[in-house]
Amino acid sequence: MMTLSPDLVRKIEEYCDSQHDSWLKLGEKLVRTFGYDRKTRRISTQVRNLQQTVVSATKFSDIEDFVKNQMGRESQGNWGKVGDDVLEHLRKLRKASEELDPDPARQFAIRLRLAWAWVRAVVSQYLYEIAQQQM
Amino acid sequence: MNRLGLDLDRFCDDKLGEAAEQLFGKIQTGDKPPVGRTQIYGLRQIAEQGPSKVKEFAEKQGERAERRRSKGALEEKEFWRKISEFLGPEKKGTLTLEELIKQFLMPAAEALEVGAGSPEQGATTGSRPTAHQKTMLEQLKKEVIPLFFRRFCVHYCHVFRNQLFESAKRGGN
Repeated sequence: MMTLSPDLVRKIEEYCDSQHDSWLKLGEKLVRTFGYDRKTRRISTQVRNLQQTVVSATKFSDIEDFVKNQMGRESQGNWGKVGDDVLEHLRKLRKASEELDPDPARQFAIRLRLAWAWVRAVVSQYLYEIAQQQM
Repeated sequence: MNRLGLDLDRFCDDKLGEAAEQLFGKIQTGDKPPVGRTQIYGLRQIAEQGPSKVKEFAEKQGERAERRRSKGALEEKEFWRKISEFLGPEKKGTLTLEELIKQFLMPAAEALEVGAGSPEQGATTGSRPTAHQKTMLEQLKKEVIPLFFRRFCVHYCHVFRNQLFESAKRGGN
């Protein structure tokens, strides 16, 4: 993974902070859409798969393809309800990487960093909502 | 990194997605998908298992569609013609995979070889491609075709998802 300058890392963190509220809203939407495993009171498989895909992706398009693939498997299912929102978030991250640095090689690294921060915030909020519901 | 030391992930992220959407734009002439899910899965599978056979597969599918002369066969034939055209050889004014590779991957691959002191260095300039360049192009095509068609097929099934499900419900593929 490419090393980014401290200045660029700071800019990335500032961007993540500015988007935090919208990421939390997506986490809440994931709870409404996918719910959670009521038996184990654990994360839904679909949310876990999204998280795993983002964390293990070697390129940003793996994440976009995962969401499109899930949407393509079921027309009226849960991914149909939330998939467009997720893709819109990913589009924003892609655009942000282009605005944060003009160099394509660094944009590639920035996109993945943004995606990690994004999924961390979204899934944290998802888990927090579940915990609230179980209290 | 691939065997030539190229960053194919970045190429896939930046260029193949754009190309897949462009090619999709050319084949989407209406609301109806020109080919069904089974054929798309077949295309993706062949691209992954035998990238050099995709062009031949597309041509055969096009011929089959032409023989059928049923409703939608013309659109299907057009779909396969555009896939085949995309796989080259290069044609002026047409988006081809070869052109993308030559533009974005070949210069980097050649620079890496020159840096590594390849015996072919210096032989890669000039207007006619050398045998070594042709081999390199074929090698890159083999690596890029599966990546491209994975993106293309996912995009296709995503955009046409409602129509493909309706068709499956009615007993189509």
